[in-house]
Amino acid sequence: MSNVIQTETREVHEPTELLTCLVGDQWIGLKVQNVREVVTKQLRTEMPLAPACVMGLINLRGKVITEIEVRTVVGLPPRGEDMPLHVAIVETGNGEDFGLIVDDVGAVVELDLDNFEKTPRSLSQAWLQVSEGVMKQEDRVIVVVNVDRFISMTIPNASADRSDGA
Amino acid sequence: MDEELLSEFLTESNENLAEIEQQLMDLEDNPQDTELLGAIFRTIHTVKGSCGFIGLTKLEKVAHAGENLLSRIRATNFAVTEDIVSLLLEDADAIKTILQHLEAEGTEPDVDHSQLISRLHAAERLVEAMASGEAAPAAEPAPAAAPAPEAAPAEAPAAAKAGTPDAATLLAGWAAEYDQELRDSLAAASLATPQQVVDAGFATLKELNGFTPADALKLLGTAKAAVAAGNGDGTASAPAAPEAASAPQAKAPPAEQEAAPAAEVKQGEVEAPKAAASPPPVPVKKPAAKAGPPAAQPHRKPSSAGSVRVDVELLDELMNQVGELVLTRNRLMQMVTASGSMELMRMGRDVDQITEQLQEKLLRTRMQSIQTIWSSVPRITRDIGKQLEKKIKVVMHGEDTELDRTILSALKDPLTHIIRNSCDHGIEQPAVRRERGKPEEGTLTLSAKQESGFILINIQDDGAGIDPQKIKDKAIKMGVLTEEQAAAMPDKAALQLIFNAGLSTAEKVSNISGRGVGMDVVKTSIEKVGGTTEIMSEVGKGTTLRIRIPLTLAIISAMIVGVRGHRLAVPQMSVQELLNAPEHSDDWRLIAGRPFYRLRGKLLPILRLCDSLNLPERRKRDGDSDKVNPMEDQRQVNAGSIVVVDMGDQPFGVLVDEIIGAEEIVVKPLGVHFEHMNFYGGCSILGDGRVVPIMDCNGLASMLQKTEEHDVAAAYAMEDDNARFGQESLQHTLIYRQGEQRYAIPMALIERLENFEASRIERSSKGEVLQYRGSVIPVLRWGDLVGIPSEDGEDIYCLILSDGHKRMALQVEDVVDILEIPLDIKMMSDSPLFLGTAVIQDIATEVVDVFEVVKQVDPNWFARNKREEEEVKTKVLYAEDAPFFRNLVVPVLETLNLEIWQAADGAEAVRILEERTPDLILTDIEMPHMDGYELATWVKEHAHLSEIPIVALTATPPDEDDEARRSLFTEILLKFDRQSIEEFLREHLGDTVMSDDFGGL
Repeated sequence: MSNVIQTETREVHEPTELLTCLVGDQWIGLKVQNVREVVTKQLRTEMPLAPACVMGLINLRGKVITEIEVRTVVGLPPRGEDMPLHVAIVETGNGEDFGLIVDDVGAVVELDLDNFEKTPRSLSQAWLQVSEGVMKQEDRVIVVVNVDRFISMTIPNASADRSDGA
Repeated sequence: MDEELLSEFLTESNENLAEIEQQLMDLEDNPQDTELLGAIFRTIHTVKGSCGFIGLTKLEKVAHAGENLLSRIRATNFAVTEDIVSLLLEDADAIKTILQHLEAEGTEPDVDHSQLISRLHAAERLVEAMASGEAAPAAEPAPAAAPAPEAAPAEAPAAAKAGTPDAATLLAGWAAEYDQELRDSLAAASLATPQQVVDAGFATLKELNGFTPADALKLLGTAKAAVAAGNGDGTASAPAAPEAASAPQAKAPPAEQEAAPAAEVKQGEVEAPKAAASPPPVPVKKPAAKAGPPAAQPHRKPSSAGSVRVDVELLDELMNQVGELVLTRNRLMQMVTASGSMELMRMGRDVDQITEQLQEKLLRTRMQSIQTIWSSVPRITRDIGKQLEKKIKVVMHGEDTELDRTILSALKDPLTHIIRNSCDHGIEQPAVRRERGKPEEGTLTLSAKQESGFILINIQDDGAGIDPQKIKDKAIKMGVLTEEQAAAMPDKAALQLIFNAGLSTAEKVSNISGRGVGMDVVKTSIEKVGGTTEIMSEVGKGTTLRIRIPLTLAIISAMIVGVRGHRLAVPQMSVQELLNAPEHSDDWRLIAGRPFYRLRGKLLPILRLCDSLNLPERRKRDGDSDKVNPMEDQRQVNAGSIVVVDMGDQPFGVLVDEIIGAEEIVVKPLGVHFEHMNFYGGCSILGDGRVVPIMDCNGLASMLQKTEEHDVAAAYAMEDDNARFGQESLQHTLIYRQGEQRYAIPMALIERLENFEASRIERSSKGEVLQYRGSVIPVLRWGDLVGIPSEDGEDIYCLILSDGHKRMALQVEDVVDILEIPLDIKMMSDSPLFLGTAVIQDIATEVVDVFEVVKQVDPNWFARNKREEEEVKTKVLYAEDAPFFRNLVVPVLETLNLEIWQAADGAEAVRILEERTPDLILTDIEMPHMDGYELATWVKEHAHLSEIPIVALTATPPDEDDEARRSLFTEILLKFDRQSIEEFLREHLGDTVMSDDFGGL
């Protein structure tokens, strides 16, 4: 398993599994190696002056985790008060955990290399930055999200020089 | 086995060498101290011996050369010179460098030490040459010649009891230098001959009862030497030692036995109490081994026998776990308290206590004495002193003071830097010092002490001191300060500028310090571990740098504060005091739009946390909705509590909505998104499971500076400038609303602001009344007075007006605000109800004449007694330029049944006085044309008037010590202090003032 992680965080050419999540009307795929767990809405502490996409801090069994609203990062309208949400707890390359707030969580699907393509240019700039490529299924297109790149995009003043690092 | 051996060797050697620098320097001061010389020799000797054993050839050579020189010095009783000490220090440094490399890489570094070695050899020859003339080269005293004093008497009985006389005798032969106890352990483990010991190996030896790894290593060396000398069976007697001394596996001398544990206490790893860590391998014989005579016991340092080495990482991990336990405990305690079960409470209390003790004990295990980092100071000062040809003495106080090791290691570099600075810039050249009448030798004093959860470290030199003007000049030149700011800045604050990057006042840049980087680094690194720095200096006398640092970092006690519904933690170490600052406190000041709070005569700049953190107004919780103020969003609310923070330089206040309480919290790091936010110091989890951010007060201070740099300087300039912000210009005024119209009423006349259900107002034969504080008071509806009906609501607002024992309620539609503003009446009013119209917050507001209003409800409130009117009235001359105040004070005078002559200023008062003579003069001080002082002076100059009491009614009394001015007046009263005015007049005018009907209804 550890072998897979090492190769997988770099390139997507090996067989791998994706956890699909819905953000707006877009399905995204998070590599399962990056996902620790999925939790429901947690008691959140807002952090004054934090970047817009940082919704606050949650206490997950004694561990403090920064929650990031995916909608904000990819430029979708903000989440309404009563919209349901799920939080995917992901781990980045540098070992810090984050909670990605998404609209819904789908299933774990195998990354099908035959239907895996480069990110179409037609996607918005934000999607282009975080995408490693897209996987086409019958009725939908899943954007495979690079978690490290995604997180670094949300850090003020750091997104520019880190976006192509991973 | 090899690796383990190496690591033990490194630990031991590092410990031994930690002392050597100090010892060498002591030797420099006392060249005749043979005991000290012996100790140094033994340290180097041990290193050499051990490394020969594990095959470290480079290290062995370097150590050997040093050992030879030392041994020559010992042999010839040569008095060491500075140069020799320098050379030996260099040798010690080389050894340490190799050890460090070994520790990091596992190999000896590829460095050529041949030059050092040849210099050591040369020195050795020099010592011999110089000594040969004066002292016959005494035979080198064999280290083993000084027998372990306790060995001989103890040995026989112990051995007898152990039942292995042979082993004991054998050991007493070849291992005589070792403690009886150690030999007993050997005997108990059936290790009697050198060969047996060598065969047993290091791992076995160090597990033996009473053996430290150092003992084991030494014994192994001795045994190997004995085997090499053909004495593998241990039968040859002790005198074999002298020859062995030249061999790499030389015997360790007995004195080392003491030295090793001593070093252990002071350096390196943290000690934890030993819990029977090394059971003897042969348990059956344990009683025998233990039967060693008690006389031998006191020789052993209990610290070595009763301690184990613990990996620091393990301790850190343990600390984290205890941190989690503390958090869990906090949560548990909340639940337990909520449960109300006595049994649970008792249990909870136990858990609470145990956790606390565990935390405290664990913290203690992480503590190390500050000596660990101070020990390098004498060396630094010596080297710098030599380089700069200065004489510097180091004095230390409180070396035993203990600090958490994390903090300690963070302090090391800043400390070194400060010391360098003090030596370089602080302490003057000997010639200069002599000129200035100071001893040639400069003194650097380091002191440390613990004070309520903090460690205070002072680094003080008796050097030239720092001229604040120089710093200001430099700061102006660099554009850090403007000239005005610099002029207004107190010296103490100017000194703190030295912590700014780029500010170094050294005229000459040296390679020791003075590049202008440094002090800012010092400050930041100390702040990083939660400390503060402060510099104090007196030109010509010296400089003191004070560091205040928490004992430990992991668990801190914090104030939990509330701001707009957010909870934040402020580390208690930064909190100096808490102030309750009600909105209409007289101590609020607004300078250039920035809030300040007057605290004990100083203006404290205030950081409004809700603004700084950009927190919008939130509706308060339902529970206290009755006081929700509709205007709150639009105005600056200066109300709440002030947390006074002192970071060493300029204290400031942080305005928060509420202080929730104090809690022990575990500091957890914040994620990468908050790295650039220096006002966050981390976060923690509170008892209810919620995350709370921990504020960093240094970061908060920089927020304050960003916005208020200029104003802070301005505040200094105006610090005691009372007149500018005196009550004359600013008064607390309540603004209320009836329909669309706003009204202003001075707070001075309002006792309370009440909000209650409309039904509480009752009807009575005399009109509407309210039961209030045990009495029935009349209610006046403002809407009826001005003809604007109130909107119907369940709750109503009432202003309770009070005068002595009399009260009445004035019902108004809504209370808008309470402001501290100048009441500048722009337009007089036709209606008797109003004094005039003022513009408040850009809205025309009618200023209410309270006395007129009161008369509406009770014409007798200020009624005169008819009997009085027949009598001769007391005449009072009242000089006051502001109609507003005249209108306030005159009714007071009227109620006292006085005849009032009003004058608009001093000049008019003089005109009146030229015609008539009053019984009393009341005067304002600040008036146009002729002020109160001039008026009083004029009065005193006229004989027929000079006996008339003059009372100043002012908002700006003359200074307490301005006797000349104060003496002009019989009494000085504050304008708004009606109580005092009345009291004074009654007292002074005696019976002529009628006061009967003032007291009550």
